Formats: sequence, structure tokens, C-alpha cells
Amino acid sequence: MVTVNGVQNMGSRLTIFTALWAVARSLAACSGDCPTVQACDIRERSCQRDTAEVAACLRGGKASDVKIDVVDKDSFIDAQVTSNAESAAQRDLRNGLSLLGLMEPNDEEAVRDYWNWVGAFYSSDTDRITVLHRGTPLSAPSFVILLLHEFIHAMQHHNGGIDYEGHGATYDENLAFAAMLEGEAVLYEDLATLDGYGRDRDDVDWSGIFRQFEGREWKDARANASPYESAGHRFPYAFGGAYLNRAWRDGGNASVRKVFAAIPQSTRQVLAGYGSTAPDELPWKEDPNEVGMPVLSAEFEYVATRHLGTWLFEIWKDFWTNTSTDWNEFSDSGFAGDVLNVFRLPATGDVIVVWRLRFADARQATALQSALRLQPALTTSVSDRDVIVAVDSRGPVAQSFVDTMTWTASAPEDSTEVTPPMAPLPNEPITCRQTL
Amino acid sequence: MGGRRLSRGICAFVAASVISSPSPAAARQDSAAAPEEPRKTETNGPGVSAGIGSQYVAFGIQLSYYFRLPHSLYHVVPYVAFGTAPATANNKNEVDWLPAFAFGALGSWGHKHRFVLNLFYSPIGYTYVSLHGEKPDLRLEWGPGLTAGYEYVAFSGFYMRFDAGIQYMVTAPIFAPKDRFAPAVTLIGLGYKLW
Repeated sequence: MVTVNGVQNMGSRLTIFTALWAVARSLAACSGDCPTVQACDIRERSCQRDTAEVAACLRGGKASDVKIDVVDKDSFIDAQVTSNAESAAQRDLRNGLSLLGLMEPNDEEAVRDYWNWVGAFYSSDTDRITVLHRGTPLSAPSFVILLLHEFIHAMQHHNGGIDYEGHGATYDENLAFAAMLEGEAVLYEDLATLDGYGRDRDDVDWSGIFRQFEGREWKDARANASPYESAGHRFPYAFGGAYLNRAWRDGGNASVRKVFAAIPQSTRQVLAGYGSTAPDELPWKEDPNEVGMPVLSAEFEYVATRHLGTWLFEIWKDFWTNTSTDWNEFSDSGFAGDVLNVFRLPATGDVIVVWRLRFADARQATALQSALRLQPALTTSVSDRDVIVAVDSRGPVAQSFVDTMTWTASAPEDSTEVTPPMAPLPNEPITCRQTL
Repeated sequence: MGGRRLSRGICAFVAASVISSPSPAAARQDSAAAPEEPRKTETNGPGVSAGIGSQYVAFGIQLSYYFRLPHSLYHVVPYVAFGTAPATANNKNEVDWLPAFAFGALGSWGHKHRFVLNLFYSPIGYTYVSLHGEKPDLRLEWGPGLTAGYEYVAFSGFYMRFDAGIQYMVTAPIFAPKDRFAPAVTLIGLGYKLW
């Protein structure tokens, strides 16, 4: 095998190839009506402009002109860790969710894990794309694809006012919304990749690819120590990608635009897939907010409310019921919504979590409680079609405490945590060229 | 003066006749044996060869036809080759053998030992695309190339050749022009000229 770069300086001596290249490029550089991406140094303005034009052509709309920052990955992550001083509420929320196996107690590790996974991100606050440079050449094909992904996010902001900010009142809604943002970027990134490598879009087994992608992300999320935090990159790309890709196959860009006119409100709807209807003509989401807040004694101090949704519920259920299922396709368990409240005991720093989960019917609720019965750390109770789960950092919660709990209405909204849209790290094995 | 001119003219004619006409002995020999066949280095005719390198996809066989330009040592040899090239994704151990063809034309000069220029179109390398981790789609990429080399053709028709040069990829538009060049090498080609 010979590296391509070894002969890169011979072009001026071989004018015949320059002529042939001009002919070939005129034949091969377009796919459909759009030009194709071409590898270039993403720090150069011409490269950015050309890539933005391809993104605009694929998606439809006006190309975004945004500035690109290339920063050293390690320095950037160090700065994020340093500036990531957790508040007391964030710390207690973390401790509470770690009792359910949904978060890691060590926040620094989680921050590093998160940013280590990120290749680039677009921030609508600054209207800039930031690329986390890892030392590999910025003219590799994978970087121009990465840049195109971020240009799609910039277009979402410029052409439709669609941002991470200001959408979704709950964790579940935010995750579903992120799935649409990232799913669209994944869609056009995939199309640009295929066009760039001269592959025919019609030859691609899209269903098979996304089934495999979803299965892998499910498995990784299931094995992750902090599914709450990793959901931001385990869920949106695979499941949002599958959703928007299906929409595109159904009716091209027009169908994709229609999705953004009526964005799914829950991860349950995203998991069910494009074109699905809610089972039994019930709403996709039914959070038990009207009875979501337990009335506790004065020694407990309220910390936070979260509505976690189907994605996290399914991971949590799989973990605590030791079922370890493989992902084939989403099987709706009847889970319709939830509300989770975290309290602290200021005197000791302990936390208690009370999670109310609602199902379509009482039978489904009872089935979950039965499956969780052998878990001593969890105390559960059933009320009509709701399951109540309580955990305490001091030890198992008394059954009588849960059974006699009184309830009041809970806030229908979370305090949202905004995360800028980002693209995964360019994965070199995704695309490659070798000379014979 | 006129007689001298005639005399010189006759001498010249006679001399030309001596040079151009076979001697009686040679004429007798020709009438006794079949005319000598031209050697295979001097004829037009097909060749079949097998080899490793750009002329042969990677590993393959080649059908060619030798045209000799009249009264010269120049030859033109168009060819087509069928072969296979190994390809593998970086993260996979298994090797896929991708079938392909190549075509081109050799221009050569020489008798038994020949200098060869080869202009051709053949696979230059391969790419693989794996969207979200599915089984990589391996595909050969193509381009024209120009090489220079050596060919030996024996009187018996056996021949061997090798060459080296450069090739330029014209498929897979994502690659920058400067990254489209690659070396082109025919390590060895061994063949037989049928007539």
C-alpha cells in the first residue's frame, strides 16, 4: 500500500492529468442537482464557502456564513472541566440519579467523557462553529463532512430559528427535539458522504444501517455508567437519524420540513418511528404531573424535577430487571410519562428520589412492579396505572413510607440544561481510501 | 561525351542489377526451401499474458495485439486486462477480492529489448464507506495513468515486461486534486505472442 500524499507534488509536471481531471470533475463532481463536497483545509474560507453551498443545496435554503474556530481538543476539555463547577442542586441531582443508576457520581469524569466524544459543535449564541482538533490533518475528507454537519445546524438556526435553546420544557422533550436537530444533520451528512464517494443513494440499505446503528447505541447506552448524560449523544444521532431518514425516503426534503412543523414531543414518539401513531389513540406523552409531587416532611428540601421519558426509562428498566435485551425495534411497553423529584436532607447531605411512572393501563404498571420486586435498593408501589419508585442515599426506603405518601401537583417543566448541537468525532474508519 | 554518359549509365544499371538480383546459387537455394518465416518480434499478432500490477488490475491476465509499424522498430500494442484487486477495511481482517478490468495501449521501440510507454485506464485504489458502522462498502476507484518501462520479446514469442509511472483518480469526487495521484507499477508481466 502506498500513501496518497507521497505523490502530491507531481501535478505541475503532468499537465495531461490536469486536463483529464478537469473533464472528469465536470462529469463526476455533481450528484443530482447538487455539487459534491470535496476535501479541503476547513480553516480556509474557500473551503468553508464551498461546503456551506453543498449543505444549502442538499437541505434547500440559503447557505450560512459562519465563522469557524479550530481549537486544541485537550486544552478545550481542560477548560470545560475547570469551568464546570457544579451547583449544590446539580450535585444533589447527580447523587439522586446515581442512586437509580442513571448518572455517575464523578462529574469531572462525565464532563471529560462527554467532550472526548465531540468532534465539533455549532453555537447559535456566538454563531460560530468550533472544531476540536486532535492533530489529524484538517484537510481529510472526514473533516469536510464534519463541517457540513455543523453547517446544517447553522442553517437550522438561520433559516428556521430552530435551536437547542428555547425548545422543550423537559428532559424528554429536549431529547426528542435534539433527535430532530441531529437527525437532520445526520441525514444530509450521509447524503454528502455517499455523493462524495460516488455511491448511489438507491443502493443503500437505509433500514438495515439504522437498525444496526440504533442497536449499537442502545447497547452502549445500556452499558454506560451515566445514561442520563450520554443520552445526548446516544439517542439523537441514531434514533433521530433513523426518523428523519425515513421521512426523507418518504417524501424528500418536503417531508423533512413537515417533521419540523410538528416536532415529536417525546422520545417515545421518536422511538416509535416516523409515521407511527400513538397506541390506542392515547397521547404520546402523559406525564403524571397532577399527582407528581410527594408531600414530604419539613426536614426534606426540594432540589429538582425531571421528566425523563421513554428512552431513559427503557434503559433503567433493562438495567434493574436484568433483562439485557438486544435492540431489534422499539417495543412499546405502555410507558406514557413520568415525573421525578429529588429532595435533600440539608443536615446530612443525603438525598431521596421519588419517581412516578405512568402507564397506559394498570396491568402494565403491575407488571413492572413485579419485575422490580427483587431489587432491595428500590422501594416500589402501584397506584392505579402509576408505579412509584423511591430510593434514598441512606438505605432502602420503608415500604410504609411510600404506601402512605400523599401527593400534590408537580411542575410540568424541568429546569432545562442547554447543550449546543454538536457532531460526533470524525471516525476515520468510516471512510477510507487505499491505493492498490 | 554522349558515349561516356551511356557507358556510365549502363554500369550503374549493371551494378544495381548485381546488388538487387539473387545470385544463381541463392536462387537455387530459394527454389529448394520454403521462404523463411519472419520472427515473432517482427510480426503483427496477438499476445496473452499474466501479471501483477497496474496493467493487470492488480493480479490478472491480459489480451493484447502487437502492431508493428512498417519498416521501423516501433510497435503499438492495445490491450485489455481482467483481474482482481484485494481490498480490506481498516477495522476488518477479511480481504475482499474485487474483480475489474483495465485497458490501455503500449507504445514501444526496439527489437528484442524494447523501451515501452504505457497509457492506460485501470483501478487506482479503493475506498470504503461505512455509514454508522454498517458493513463497509468497498469499491475500486479508477483513473488514467502513464508509465514507462521495459519489455523483452524473444524470437520464440515469449515476452516479459515491467513499468512504473503515475496514475490519477477521476472517480470519488470528495478527494482533493492533489490527493488523487498515486504511483502506478507493473511489477511483472509474462506472456506469449501467438504468431
